[in-house]
Amino acid sequence: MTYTDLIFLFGLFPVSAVLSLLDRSSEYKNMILIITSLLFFSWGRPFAVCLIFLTLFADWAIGMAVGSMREKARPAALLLTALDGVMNLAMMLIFGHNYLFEGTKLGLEAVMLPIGMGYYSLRGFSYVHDVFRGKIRAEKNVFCLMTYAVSFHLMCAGPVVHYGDMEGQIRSREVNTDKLNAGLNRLIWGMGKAVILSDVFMKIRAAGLNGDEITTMGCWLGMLAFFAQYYFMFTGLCDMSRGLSLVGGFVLPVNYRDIEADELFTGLVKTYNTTVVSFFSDLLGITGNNNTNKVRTAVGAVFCGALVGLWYQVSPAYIIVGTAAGLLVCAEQLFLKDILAKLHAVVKYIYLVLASLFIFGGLEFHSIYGYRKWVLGLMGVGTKYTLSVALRDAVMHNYVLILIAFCIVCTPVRKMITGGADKFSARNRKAYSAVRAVKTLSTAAVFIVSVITLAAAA
Amino acid sequence: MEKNFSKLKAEADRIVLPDECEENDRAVRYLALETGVGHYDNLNLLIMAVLFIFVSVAFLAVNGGRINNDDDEFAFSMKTLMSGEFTKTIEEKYISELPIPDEMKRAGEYVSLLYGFGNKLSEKESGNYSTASSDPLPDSDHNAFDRDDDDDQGLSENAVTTRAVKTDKDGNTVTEPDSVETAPGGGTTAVSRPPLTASTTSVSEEDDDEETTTTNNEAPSVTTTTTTTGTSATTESTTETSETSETSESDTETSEPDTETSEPDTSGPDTETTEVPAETGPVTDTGPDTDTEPEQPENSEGPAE
Repeated sequence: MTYTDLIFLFGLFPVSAVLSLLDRSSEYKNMILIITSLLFFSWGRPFAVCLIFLTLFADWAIGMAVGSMREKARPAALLLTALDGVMNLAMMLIFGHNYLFEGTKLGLEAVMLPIGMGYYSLRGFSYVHDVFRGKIRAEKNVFCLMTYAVSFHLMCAGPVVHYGDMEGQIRSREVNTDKLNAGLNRLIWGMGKAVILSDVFMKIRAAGLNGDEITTMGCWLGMLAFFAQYYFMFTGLCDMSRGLSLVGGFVLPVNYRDIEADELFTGLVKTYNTTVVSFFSDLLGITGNNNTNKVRTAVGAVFCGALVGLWYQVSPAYIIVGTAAGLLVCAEQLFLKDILAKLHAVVKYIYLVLASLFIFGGLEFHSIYGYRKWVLGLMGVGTKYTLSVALRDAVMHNYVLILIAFCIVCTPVRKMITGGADKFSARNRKAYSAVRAVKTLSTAAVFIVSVITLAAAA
Repeated sequence: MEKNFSKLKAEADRIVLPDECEENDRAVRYLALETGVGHYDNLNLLIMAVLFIFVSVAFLAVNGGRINNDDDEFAFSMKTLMSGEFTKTIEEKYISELPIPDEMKRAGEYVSLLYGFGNKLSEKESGNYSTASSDPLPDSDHNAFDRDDDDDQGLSENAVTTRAVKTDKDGNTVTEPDSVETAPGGGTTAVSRPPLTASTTSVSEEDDDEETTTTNNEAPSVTTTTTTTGTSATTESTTETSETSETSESDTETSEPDTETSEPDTSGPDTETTEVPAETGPVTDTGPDTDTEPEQPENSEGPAE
């Protein structure tokens, strides 16, 4: 089950939300959340439920042991923490990256594999790791830990929240109209991104890159559409995740940020899946603002890039791309930053687009040959045509949505629009009413269009 | 009395209102606005919640008209649960019973008209209307860049070759030379790539006198129609549709029952696109088990840029 499944959106989620509202106690809400989350997590994959319980209890027990030993017997605590890391890593590899074991005894059918194992494993390990570092105390109540580990709010697209950030909310939280309102709005807009916009860019990408003919514009637009597709899918799921959490009474940290030209490529890589990047940075000890050890931070960025690439997918392409991104971050930290900082914002945006294209574009190809061919295609080398009709049609058929997507991604444009609306609404009550009415109507329209799109595709 | 009143009035006029009053007015306006914020927030929440609940209830309670009485499939047991069949059946049942599925697809098409230029509504009566899937992607896994053998030398995606295996009077096969189809002038020529693909195969079991093969050389958008026309009244046809097709404009027609072959229309400079009709004459018949029909060919656009 995923967030965009109809049976989740209009079956499991409303039932979970309504049942949660029947009692104000957090224990009751946690129980409902655990039951519905296990259903969500193990939908069609009952094997996963057993798995969750096993590893969850292991994390809990190891956490308790580490908590009691971390001061008296630190090496033993470290050993246990490492053991927990190995266990979670094995879980992630076997169930999250099962393609590695295809044809072996560990190769499993797709139906057996639970979703979100990457995030689940990180959460499990981060709990024990935080206990070891003394950031939190070991949790005695296994149900609190279970609420944190299996909550469906965190399953599809993160964020990777530390237990310390969630503990207070797990023990005591309230659901009020403000949270419900904000949650539903965020959920609907996220659904619009994931269902409508992502789908449009998938079509453009297919027309540009997946046909048999290579065209110059296909190389450019296809790759930009590739980025846009995953950007809107990811940010849409993140928004849905935060919306679902708000409806359940939780306030989660953001998992993506606006792209700012001033932050250069270093800022760009931190805008996407922010919490995962932070987690690995934290693990490698490169999060501090310690300017004295610039070299260490820069070198750490390379390892961090490779690790994040591995976390996404265990394949040479992801490792190379992750390492390349880390290298550019490293270069920026060491010397490029000072040079690029003097450039105009437009030039910085161009730099960001080109750097992203040439580095992350590698994810689309299975070989160096394909990548080389695409790079040449960008310059018109080896392409017979400039534009294919399929690509042109894909763009023309969806140009309104492309414009909307541009306004969302381009921070200055979006700020201009929202700032204009705010100024207008501040004029008088009538103007404010008009702006609010437009907001509500557009949210409702996005909801209806998303539902129609999902139902039509079902 | 009147004098006193005038005096008081004159005194009152002399009093200048302090700034605090203006600030108070502003504060009152702000409070009113705040109240408005709460008011609109509640209204917004009400509308969204009602919409959500309405859709949830409608999807759960309203039956799409397809009553499924196969309760055996729906039986709960440890075996069905552990194998994942139980949850799969629930999901399939839920999706199959969505209310007004056809209208949803229709509404989806109407909505897509707002997305940009050139979106069309499929005509239900024309055979284009697909109830199985809406606008599937062509071959999103296919990556032209990762293919090493790209030396197709002009027989690229949009080069549609219509070949007919001719037989002469003695029954011998007559082979025609392949026509190399390249864009006239090459360069910046927009080429037609049907984003979707149909593969139709029709087989007549008797009297294999004549065979017509129409091939759209455009992987992944390959349209292949193989028709074996028989003279017998008994004809068995099978149509396999992998994906619906938006094929190109007709320059060549495929074989009619009494036509031996179909040949590529190579006249004129724009010979690279050839229409491949989805239906290849009366011999081709869509099997009863086929949910989808290949779409009628749409226009192929020749060099546009």
